[in-house]
Amino acid sequence: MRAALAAAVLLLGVTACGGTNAGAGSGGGAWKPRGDVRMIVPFAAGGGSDLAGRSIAAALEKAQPGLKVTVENRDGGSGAVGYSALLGKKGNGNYLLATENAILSLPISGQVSFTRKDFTPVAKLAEDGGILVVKKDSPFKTCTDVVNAAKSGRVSVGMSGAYGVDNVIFTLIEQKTGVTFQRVPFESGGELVPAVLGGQVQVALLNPGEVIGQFRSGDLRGLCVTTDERYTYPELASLGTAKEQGIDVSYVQFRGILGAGGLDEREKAYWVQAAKGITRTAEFQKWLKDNYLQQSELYGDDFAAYLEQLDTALAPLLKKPS
Amino acid sequence: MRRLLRGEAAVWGLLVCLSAAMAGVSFGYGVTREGGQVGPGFLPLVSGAALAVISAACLLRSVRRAAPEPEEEAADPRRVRTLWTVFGMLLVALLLVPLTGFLVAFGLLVFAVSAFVEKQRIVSAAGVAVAATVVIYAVFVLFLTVPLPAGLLGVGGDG
Amino acid sequence: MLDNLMMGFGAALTPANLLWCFVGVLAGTVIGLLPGLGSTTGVAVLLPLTLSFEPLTALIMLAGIYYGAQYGGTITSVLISTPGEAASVVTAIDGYQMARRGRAGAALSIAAIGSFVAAIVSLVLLVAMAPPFAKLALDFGPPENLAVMLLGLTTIVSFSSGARLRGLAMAVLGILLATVGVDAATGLPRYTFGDVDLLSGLPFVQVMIGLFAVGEVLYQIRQGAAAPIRARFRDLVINREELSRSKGAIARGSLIGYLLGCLPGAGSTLASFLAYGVEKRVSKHRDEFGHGAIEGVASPESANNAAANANFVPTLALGIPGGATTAVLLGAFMMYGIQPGPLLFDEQPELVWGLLASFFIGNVLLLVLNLPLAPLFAQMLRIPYGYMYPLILVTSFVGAYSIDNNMFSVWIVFVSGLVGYFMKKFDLPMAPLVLGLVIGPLFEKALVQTSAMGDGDLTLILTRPIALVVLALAALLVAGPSLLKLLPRREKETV
Repeated sequence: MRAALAAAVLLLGVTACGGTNAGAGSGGGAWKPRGDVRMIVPFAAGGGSDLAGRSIAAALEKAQPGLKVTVENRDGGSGAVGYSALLGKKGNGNYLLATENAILSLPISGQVSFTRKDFTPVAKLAEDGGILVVKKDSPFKTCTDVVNAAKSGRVSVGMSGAYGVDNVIFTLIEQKTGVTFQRVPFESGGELVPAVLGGQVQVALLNPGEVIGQFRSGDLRGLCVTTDERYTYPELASLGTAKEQGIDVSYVQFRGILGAGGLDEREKAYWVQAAKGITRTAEFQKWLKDNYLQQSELYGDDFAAYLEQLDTALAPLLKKPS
Repeated sequence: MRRLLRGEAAVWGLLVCLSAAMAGVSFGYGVTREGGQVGPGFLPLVSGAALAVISAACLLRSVRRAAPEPEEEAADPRRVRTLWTVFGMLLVALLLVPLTGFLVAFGLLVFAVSAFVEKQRIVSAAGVAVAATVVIYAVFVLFLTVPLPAGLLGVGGDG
Repeated sequence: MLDNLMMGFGAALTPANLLWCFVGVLAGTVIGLLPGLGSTTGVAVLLPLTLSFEPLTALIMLAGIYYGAQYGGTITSVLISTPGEAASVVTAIDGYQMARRGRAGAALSIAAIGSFVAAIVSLVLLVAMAPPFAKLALDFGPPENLAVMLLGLTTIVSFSSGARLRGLAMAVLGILLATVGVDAATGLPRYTFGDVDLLSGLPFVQVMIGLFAVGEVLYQIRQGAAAPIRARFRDLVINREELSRSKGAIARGSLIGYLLGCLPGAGSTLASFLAYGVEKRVSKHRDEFGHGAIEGVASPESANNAAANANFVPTLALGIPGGATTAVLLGAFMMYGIQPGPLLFDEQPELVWGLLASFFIGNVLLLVLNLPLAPLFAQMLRIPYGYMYPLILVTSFVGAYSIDNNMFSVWIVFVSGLVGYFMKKFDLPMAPLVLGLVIGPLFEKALVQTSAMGDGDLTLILTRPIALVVLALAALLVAGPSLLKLLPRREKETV
């Protein structure tokens, strides 16, 4: 009993020492994270953002041997909760976040207290396009059909959330063509697939990775893609772009990494350098291929410039007249 | 018995106030949206109003009940004191977390409750506290990699 | 079909797969035991460990965690009134009462047996006819879901032990509190007072831990801590009468669980509540409910487990997540390079049938593991409460913290603990409150969607045949008792 107690005390002591060196990471020369790195995913486990976060974390571990990246889902408030969690880690180089367009649409909505400037852009790694999909027996053959139908009647579209990419794209289409869609709100792309399949909504905008299984079985059909150019993946190459079909809209979802705000130059340099190794890993390439993403790299300040540019373009379109 | 009844009336009174307040605020959220669709304020208004009515009915009932049926014997005042002591210790432990870290604060809680409230021998209380802390460290920190707050002492979890 | 299943067993019965199946169900049981850590967190946390495995082995282990957690969650509900996740809340009501009467062993045994039978029934249904059920599930749009939520709410009356008004008040309070946080449809924050943590709403698992576990500890201290229960070993084992009383409950629970589990989103919590509600309506021992009726343990446990398995119907047949945990499992499929979707059965027969076969194996392992352990776990109640409750408090708080690594969760448990104590003191039923919290957001979503589909006209629901059938069931459940009162009289006349 006494021996066990002594062992327990010893173990506690050891862990105490193990814990203390995690925080302090200063000293001369290049910076390196001490202890585990956390990758916050601001959406629930199982979705596209979660998959992105987990794949990027695995690729990062492979690119930087010895680095341990643990994924942490902090979902809620269309991503607001996760970004706010990173906001609270200001100056802590051990935290990353799997980012996408919510970093822009959340601040534009005016419902959160942060902006993109409160974080350190590390890397943009990939782009995920959207496909307008319908059930196999739908009368719509192209996106033009959808717009024409909406001009004379009601077309119901599913929304995957208040600040989702699909909301942006449908708003853009509405502004370019002057139609109004009947919006039915859902909470994720995963809920939209059965809604389209079951005929609860007529059209939805989904990522290729979310619908490819349904495409191949023939249960769902694609109408057009919202990327600038057609996909090169053979399964998707036959789908025309919205622009080709006369709807001048192109908008994609980016996937990347964000660091906490207030990082010093050495911390920032380390993460940009580490991120540059990601796209070379097999893990990353597999994730791209499995989810039909396009590789699209921007690092550090280039990523920041991209965000700024997108932000200035989006803000006037999405800001609600109050 | 009297006191219990008064307490119950207070609970219903509190619920009436809470639900009425929440229902009031709901108008600001927009009960309906354009086209008469259900808006963000709809459910708060409906459920708030319903709860206000139900609680008011319960309040009336508990005030009117002249001779309350014997629901339970009054609790021993010493035990009630013990209860609030444990509750207070819990609060202290939670407030200690930012300072000492999660593991130490709750280890101390186990020790304090076992030794001073439950009057166990100091050695065995300490043993239980240390064992519980170690098990929690092993399961949550090592196995499930939960970053428990380490506090200023930096014990267990991350910074 | 049988050929496929045989092939599946061939794939699942390799030593490595058997070993990891066992590891999975064991880890799942442990994770289910810990308050707050449900199967979703468990699978998400342990997913990275399996990345180097063969896909089938990895999925077998992850699925093992999933249904293992359903068994584990029962144990703490029964012994210390601490439900591991929302689906075990109902079990805590009668299970804990049974434990206080020295029948903990029986409660745990029937939970294990019920879970096992439900698992096998639902697996057979899953294997035999997943595609038709998946097609049926697609017909459940927002109006149908709205009807299902209304059906769920009718079970409130079953949880209020006499005082219906109190139960109703608590359920409505739950719905009202569930509106805290960002409105899903418009993104508008409600009742958050600028607090970031409140944006995602009141976290109901944390609230539940506070109400049940911490509230019970505080109340027990006030009552002068119940004496340790020294049951004889004979009393720890389930007896014949209890077994025969549970038969119908398990059958009905399994069926209700399977049907609700097939619907994406409705889930096992609703199934367990509904099964309990139905059982209380049809049981001969209606009056014992709430005071330790064995049917009150058997039916929700069966329903909960059947629903967990039925969640795989849309997952495997359509590639659509049936619930939060199957969503993570679908993510895992993608990480192993397997494209889920309607073609999964054709393209990956060995994987799908191997996985299905492993469910049978895993559930047998769990039964073998849990039956002898039930009396052993029941022995834990011999430990004086004074030693137990500090540990219950600590695990509750650590468990709550580990849900999202946030001190906010811990404070929620603290406050809910205080609320739970007062609810016990004033005899306010907790289960309706939890039901309201769980159903509230689903109910609101279905309501908003239905109104969006009908351009503000909610009578849309009356034009949908399936919704009407569900509403009729709800009406039957409410009006049932008055109808039943007419029946026995007639029986007496004829006898």
